[in-house]
Amino acid sequence: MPLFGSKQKSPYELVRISRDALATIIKEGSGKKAEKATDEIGKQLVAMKNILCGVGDQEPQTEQVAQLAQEIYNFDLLLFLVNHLHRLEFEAKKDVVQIFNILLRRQIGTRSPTVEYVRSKNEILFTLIQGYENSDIALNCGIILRECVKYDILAKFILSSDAFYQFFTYVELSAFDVASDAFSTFKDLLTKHKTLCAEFIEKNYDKLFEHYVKLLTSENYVTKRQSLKLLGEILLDHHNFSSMTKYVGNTENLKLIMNLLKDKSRNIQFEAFHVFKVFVANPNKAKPIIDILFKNKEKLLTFLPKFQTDRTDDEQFMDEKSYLITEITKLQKP
Amino acid sequence: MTDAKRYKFLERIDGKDNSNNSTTVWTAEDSKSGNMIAIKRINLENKCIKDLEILRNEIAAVRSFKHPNIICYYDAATVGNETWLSMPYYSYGSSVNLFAMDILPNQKELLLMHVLRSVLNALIYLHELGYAHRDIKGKNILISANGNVCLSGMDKATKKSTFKQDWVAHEFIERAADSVVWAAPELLAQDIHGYNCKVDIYSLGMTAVELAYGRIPFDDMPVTQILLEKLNGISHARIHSFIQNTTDVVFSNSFYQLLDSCFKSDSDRWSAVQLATHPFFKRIKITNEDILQEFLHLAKPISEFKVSEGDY
Repeated sequence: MPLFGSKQKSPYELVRISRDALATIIKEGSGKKAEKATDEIGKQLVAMKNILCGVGDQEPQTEQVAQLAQEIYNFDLLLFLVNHLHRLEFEAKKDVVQIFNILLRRQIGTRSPTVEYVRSKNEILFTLIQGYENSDIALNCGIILRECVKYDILAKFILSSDAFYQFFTYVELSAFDVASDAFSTFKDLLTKHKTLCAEFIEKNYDKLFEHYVKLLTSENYVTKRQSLKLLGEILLDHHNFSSMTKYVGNTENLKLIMNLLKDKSRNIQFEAFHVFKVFVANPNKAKPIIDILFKNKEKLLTFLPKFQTDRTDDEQFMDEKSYLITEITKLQKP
Repeated sequence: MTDAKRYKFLERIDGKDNSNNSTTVWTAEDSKSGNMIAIKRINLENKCIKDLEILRNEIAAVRSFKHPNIICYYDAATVGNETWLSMPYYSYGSSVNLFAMDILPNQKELLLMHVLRSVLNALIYLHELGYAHRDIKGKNILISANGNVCLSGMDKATKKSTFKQDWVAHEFIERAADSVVWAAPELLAQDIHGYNCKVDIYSLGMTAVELAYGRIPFDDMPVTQILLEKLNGISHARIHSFIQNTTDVVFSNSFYQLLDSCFKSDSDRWSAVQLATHPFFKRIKITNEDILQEFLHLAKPISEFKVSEGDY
């Protein structure tokens, strides 16, 4: 606490000063004034964080939190902070993430006012997604995005926008940390809200898998491996039953997965196995699928018994493999 | 420029000669900046999906730190089935190498002060952010050419609370076998009392012993036995008698008091902030890296530890 004057600023002042400082940073770009404004905003963010989290043993005060939240909505501060995140200092960026995520979790009865706010200012979500293009803020944006995606209305909004398809580019980036972070958000979007996701996948099946095939054939090892694993998870989730049926009825898919079974990476072969088994285990195989499997019957029966025989401690895998061998042996000329 | 072409690898410096290692460390020249850097090459094909997740979290954590005594990563690039983590080159390797050289006992204490104090700075920063490092040991403390001391090995770090240091965690660290020696008893106990960021202070104490004496009180014991001794509370007696019986190096009283403060049971153990005020550190007159400079000409930079080409 300073010795003289300067009693704690009100939530209104904190937010207003931040907005003014941001305006200065935007106007000045660089130089002394911008630096001073950057310092200023850093201080206000710390003060806001303290109100939201409490200091030391002190619990946050509900009334102050409510006032601050209200001022933040009134001034569109979240929107501005996200839009200009790259201009802030290192620690200030992290403070924005904390403030944003605490506010998101805030509830009044059954309402989540910040979630509603973000939904009404959808530019916020677009900017956050685009954040993956700037490595200085990519991980900060990723943390906020994953918190947003926990709420079905926000997840639904992203899925229904074209911005969702930008993820197919981000998960393939060569920066391991950024690409993996993007993949983690991408995965949450496709799996977190079961009914919503199933509906999305079913409705957008063609467009989605047209994009997805690029991930499965990616030059990027991490993308290829993670997307193949995720594909297995999606197909085996009973919520996605109708999309799964569609997927395993397509001969192009089967050919791709059979090629991946022979990939030079053992891990990719392994993940491919978990997709391949769905084709074979399907009790209502379409005729073209049976045709392909039958045509490759001999090859498969030579290949599978020798496939990753050292995974003896993975009992489920061993069981599934012998089940596939039995099923393929039973295949009759269609 | 693709990352594969950007770096010119010079020498392997992780000191292992097994060609099947999934992780190797190299010195390299970054053609973009012209700087000599270090690159950790991690073969992802030998990692399970869970390991990839751990790696992602580790990089994200390191990316969120900005502190002179904590390692930073420049870049994490996927190249083929490897990830190349580029970072500053710490030419003197780990603190274990540094303390392995012949130094006079009174100088050794000065060096200890400097190294431990630097790690403590890093811990104050981490604990404030709600992180526990959970793997403090000599091997994870790196020394740069200008004597900067830097904490690395963030793969076991965990974040429990963003705001408060009084959190309690219960989960056990996976793949912790090679850190049992340094681990605090309450971290190993996995009981309902849990643990908090003071586990790092215990490990700092063990690191102090490790560096001061050049070996650890449990050196030839099997891991399970160390674990049992820690759980049964008899490890304290062992550490005590180890120090008593090692008479070839003697330190000032305040050093032994420092160890006591680190090895107390967790409720009485000092926090990082408290420990920074310990009398042991009061004797640091020059607070900058000059202290280390005096010794570094005695030490060998690791790039001199030539690895012959046949080894890899």
